[in-house]
Amino acid sequence: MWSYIYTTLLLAPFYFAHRYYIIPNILAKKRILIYLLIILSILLAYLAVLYYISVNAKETKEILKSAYASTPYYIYKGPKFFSTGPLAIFLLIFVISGGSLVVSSWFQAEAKKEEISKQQLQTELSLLKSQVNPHFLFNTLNSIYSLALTNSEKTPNSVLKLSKIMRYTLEESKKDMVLLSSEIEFINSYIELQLIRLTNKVKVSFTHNITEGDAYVAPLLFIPFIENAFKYGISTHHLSTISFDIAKHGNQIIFSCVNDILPKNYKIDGTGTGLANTKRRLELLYPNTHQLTIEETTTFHVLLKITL
Amino acid sequence: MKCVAVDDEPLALNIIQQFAQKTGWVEVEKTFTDAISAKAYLLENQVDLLLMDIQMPDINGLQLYQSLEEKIPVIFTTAFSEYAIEGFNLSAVDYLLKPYEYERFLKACTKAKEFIVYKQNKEMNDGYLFVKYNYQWNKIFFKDIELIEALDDYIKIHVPGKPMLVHMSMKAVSEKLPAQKFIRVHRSFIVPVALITSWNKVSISLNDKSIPVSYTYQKQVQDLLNKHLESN
Repeated sequence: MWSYIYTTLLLAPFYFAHRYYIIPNILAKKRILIYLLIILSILLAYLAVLYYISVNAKETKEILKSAYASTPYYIYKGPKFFSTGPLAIFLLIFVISGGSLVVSSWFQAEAKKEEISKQQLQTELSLLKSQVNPHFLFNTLNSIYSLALTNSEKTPNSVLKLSKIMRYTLEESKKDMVLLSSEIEFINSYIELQLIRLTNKVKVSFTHNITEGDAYVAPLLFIPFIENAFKYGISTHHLSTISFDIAKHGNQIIFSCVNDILPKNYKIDGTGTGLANTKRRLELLYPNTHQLTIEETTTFHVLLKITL
Repeated sequence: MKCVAVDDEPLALNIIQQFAQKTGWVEVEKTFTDAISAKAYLLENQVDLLLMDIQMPDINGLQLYQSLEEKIPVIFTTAFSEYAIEGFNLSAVDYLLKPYEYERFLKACTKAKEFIVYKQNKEMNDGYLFVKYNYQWNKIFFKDIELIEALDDYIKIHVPGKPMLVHMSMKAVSEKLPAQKFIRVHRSFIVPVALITSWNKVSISLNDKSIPVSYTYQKQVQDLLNKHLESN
């Protein structure tokens, strides 16, 4: 019994050396022959030590004296230490040390994989996160520039509105979730800025109604639809109307956006990537809890329902 | 320089009007927020320069320009830098990226003026008209015309050598001549601007000749000659 424990203890250095040095430094570098030679020499050294111990052990000497004293030399099968037991233990230690390394590196790889996919999702989400169109920014700056040139009273307020919008898109949009009420405030500023740029041939309305308290939503969720309406739903030749509505009833948020479809004889059609990105983002953020319907009749009607 | 400005944003048109006024020589004849009406106007009227936005709700400025038969010198004004190359492909004079400062606007308009003057000079040097004289059609280069004089139903075109007597009205001939280079000063006289040596309200001198300026044409003559003074 004790002998088994001794021999196992003898193998402890081998366990650590094998797991932390020999496999990563020799086997991992594909030096298989060297690896096998090292393992073989360790095995031989181990057996040699065992042999030395067993031969010198009192126990052995006594056994040899008593039990085998009368037995002829050739019948003597050697001490028990030297039999299959130690060899099996050696193999067991060998397999466990190698196996544990394999298992632990497998776990590490899995964790890494998971982190990478999580990061990819995060990157995708942040890419899909609609930025306020840079063209809107420059056109608005140009409008404010015009107001400033004529010393218009509207200048300071427009600058404030624009800075609100910029702060929102730069700071709030980094968050995963924002308050619905601040999203509404942002949309309000955006529409007001659009209005200073437009002619009086466009009528824009924005209504909102939040009941049973505020809620958290992903930032800039509705703005792609609103930008789209301003892009395709206005004319300086024809009269047109755009209306937006955001309502929250219980745990449901309903966004609606209606704009006229104008005769587009000359216009280059959009690529549609804006709405495709928004759809993908909704799928990632609200899988199975959102419902988006887009209806094109005489008007373009977007209806988005999100259940929180 | 008479120009028309087209932009869907009224505030952007304000900037153009302000800057044009500041130059003193760029005259904004009309502004449009509605590109469709602008197109109709451009098909009917003669302008020197077009200042136009590209991304507009009803019609894209590049397409509008392509659809015009007569290629008016154009300066595109836009917040979209990605249209610049396409704009220059349509031989735009310049491309103003919004918001732009007055100096940049002035530079673009100066470039347009130089372009217009160059085109007029080219037309003057290479251009010609055919008139029926001595029972055959004769080619007359604009640069050779020294004076056109009305004689009842005929006009007398003074060119080096013998003047040509042509059966034609003053109105018909003046329509064939480059507008900036020839000027009607009297019911009976059209003079080439380049040959004017001195002028006042009532008469114009061409080397040795003195031509009267009639009251009807006084204002037109003054305006055109003042313009020539400025551009020199």
